[in-house]
Amino acid sequence: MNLVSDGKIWLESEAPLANTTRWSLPLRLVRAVAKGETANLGNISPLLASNLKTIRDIYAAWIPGHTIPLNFECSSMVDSPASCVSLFFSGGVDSFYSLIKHRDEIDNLILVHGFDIPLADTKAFALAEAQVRDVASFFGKRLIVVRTNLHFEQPDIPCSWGMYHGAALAAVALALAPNHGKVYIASSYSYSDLHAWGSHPLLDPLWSTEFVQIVHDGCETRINKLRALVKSPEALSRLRVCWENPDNYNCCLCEKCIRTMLALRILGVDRCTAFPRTITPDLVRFQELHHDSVLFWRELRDPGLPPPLSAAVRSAIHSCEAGLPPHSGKFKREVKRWLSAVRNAGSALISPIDRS
Amino acid sequence: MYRVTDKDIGIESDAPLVNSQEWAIPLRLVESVVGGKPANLGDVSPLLARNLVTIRDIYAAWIPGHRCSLTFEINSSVTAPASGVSLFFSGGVDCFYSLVQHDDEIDNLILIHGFDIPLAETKTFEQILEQAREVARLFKKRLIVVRTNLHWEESRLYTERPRIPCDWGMYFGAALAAVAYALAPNHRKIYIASSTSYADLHQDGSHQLLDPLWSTDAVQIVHDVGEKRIDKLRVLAQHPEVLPRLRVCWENLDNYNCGLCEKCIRTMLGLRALGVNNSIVFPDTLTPELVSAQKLTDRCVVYWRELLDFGLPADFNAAVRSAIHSFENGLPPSTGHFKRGVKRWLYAARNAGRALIAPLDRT
Repeated sequence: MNLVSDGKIWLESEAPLANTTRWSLPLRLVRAVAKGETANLGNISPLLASNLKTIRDIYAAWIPGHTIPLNFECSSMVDSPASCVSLFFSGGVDSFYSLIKHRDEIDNLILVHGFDIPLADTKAFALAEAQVRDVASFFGKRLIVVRTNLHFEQPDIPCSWGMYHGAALAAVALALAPNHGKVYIASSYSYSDLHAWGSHPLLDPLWSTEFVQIVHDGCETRINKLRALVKSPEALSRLRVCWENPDNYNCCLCEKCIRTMLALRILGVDRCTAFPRTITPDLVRFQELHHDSVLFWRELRDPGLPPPLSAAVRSAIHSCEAGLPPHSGKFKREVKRWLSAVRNAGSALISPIDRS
Repeated sequence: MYRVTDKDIGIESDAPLVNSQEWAIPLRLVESVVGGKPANLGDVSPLLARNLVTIRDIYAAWIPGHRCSLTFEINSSVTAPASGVSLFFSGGVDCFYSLVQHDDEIDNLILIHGFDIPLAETKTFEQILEQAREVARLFKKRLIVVRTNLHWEESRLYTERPRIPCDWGMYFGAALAAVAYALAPNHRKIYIASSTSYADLHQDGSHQLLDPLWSTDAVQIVHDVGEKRIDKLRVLAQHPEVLPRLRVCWENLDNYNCGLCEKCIRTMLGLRALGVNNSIVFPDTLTPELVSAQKLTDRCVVYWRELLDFGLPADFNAAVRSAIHSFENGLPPSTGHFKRGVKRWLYAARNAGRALIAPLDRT
């Protein structure tokens, strides 16, 4: 087992790791921006050095943080980049889509323990690893498993994980430099939705060095990604979008499962081994959507859905947009829905009064 | 006078222009994305060729349009880039800020007639040209003036009308790239001053994600993202030679800055908050009533939020808060007039009614 560390943060893998501390530069930079401290970054790649100011300015605007001074020296180039190509792989729609899209180019799938699943939860990770190993074996790719304590085991991460995880992915990509010259990060969002987020088409490529090119891939809409997956039954049957139910495959109850099942219905897939349960209009209507999930639901307003499911999708979106709790079929929850409506109406009614 | 054309669209300038059709690639690409027809782009620089699919996908998502098929050949004979650095210059806050920030590097200022100002508006353009010449002289830069009919159709018989395939706000980034290519003999790098900071990523034809993708092996295109608008004004306030020449207003073409439109008012407020005397560049129009009567939009409210609690006198700060509040609550702005006040309450009643029946499923 190979291990690299920087202070109390470590990362280990059976695959070869870089023998410098340059891998942790993204983590140190984001921490300094968040805390407002000078970033001492040591020796760094000339390509990354040319983008550091932009990365700092983006993080300073997004966290939000501070436009801190940057101390670094440009290293001289001695090594040549490895020739292989990797993809961060979790088994969800985005990473499966990138795998299929770049099937001929990709050599390695990277699975990280310690990002979404805590290190202590070995049972959940064992299941995830077994499933990804099956995918790697089917597609003829090498699986690289990485363990790290950079997220859950730290007393505090410098900003929200949503904003930090892009830097964390870059750190893992740089640590694994001996294994690849290019790494794909599958995009969660399409070009229509460019909100500030740790892994972003504007940000990810800026972490590239002369040795590791980092590519933010697949800013297509979620439904178009699923359209590509439907043509690959072997991928569809291995799709895992949900970690709510560690003993089973996809739970078929959570928001992520429901929206994926709805998209599959639109694409003409009524039954799928990855989603064994049947979807009902009530289950759809009861979903509580948030501002970042409602974007995916808007893609589901499609004539391809049966009318009861289509009405339920519109109802869930309407509840989110009107600032109401969703329908639940329970009396107490319905009362809460009406009370929220009365509160919203009251606020609207007194809004012309200038309280400035 | 040099001139390049592509069908009935042309660009002309006193400065040398390219002698190939490559300059019109951005315009042809966007037109194909809008129309859903295959884009035949001819010879393309190797660097641009790598990014064409991404540019197409971004435009297809933003306009929205079609992921049209792309046909092109990679240009094998790449010409060596010229040596200068240019900046698109209109006289507004963003490009003045980029000029001050990159003063040491910039050689040319590019002023375009036919983008914001229709070609028939010669009087207004002459006024702007005069100021731009003065700025170029002060900062010791070469001024390149470009005339183009790519936005407005030229006609003596009727008012000029736009000829563009999509909204100008989405098209003008491609139009800037086309002008940058056409002027390739004059520069190796060109700055496009950003109107937003990284905190604001809304879709726009000129965007931090999109502009650099138009770069070719001959011309690097840089979207110069700076600070927030108020911080840019703070930088400009330290340059007394800049402020009298600032032109932010495109609403009332007969006046240099009208002092009445939203853009004028927010700039005047910014200067006021920074303790700068407005009178050198704006007429004396600023009152709290005028401020609270402004109707804000999604695009501009970002700049107004920067002004809040930023050191404005209390009555102006309250007026800024009122304008933002009206926008956020979907109300017409507060003007102090009785009829407008009634309209505000009617809007509020309508909004309240909608909120009250929201729990009913009308699906």
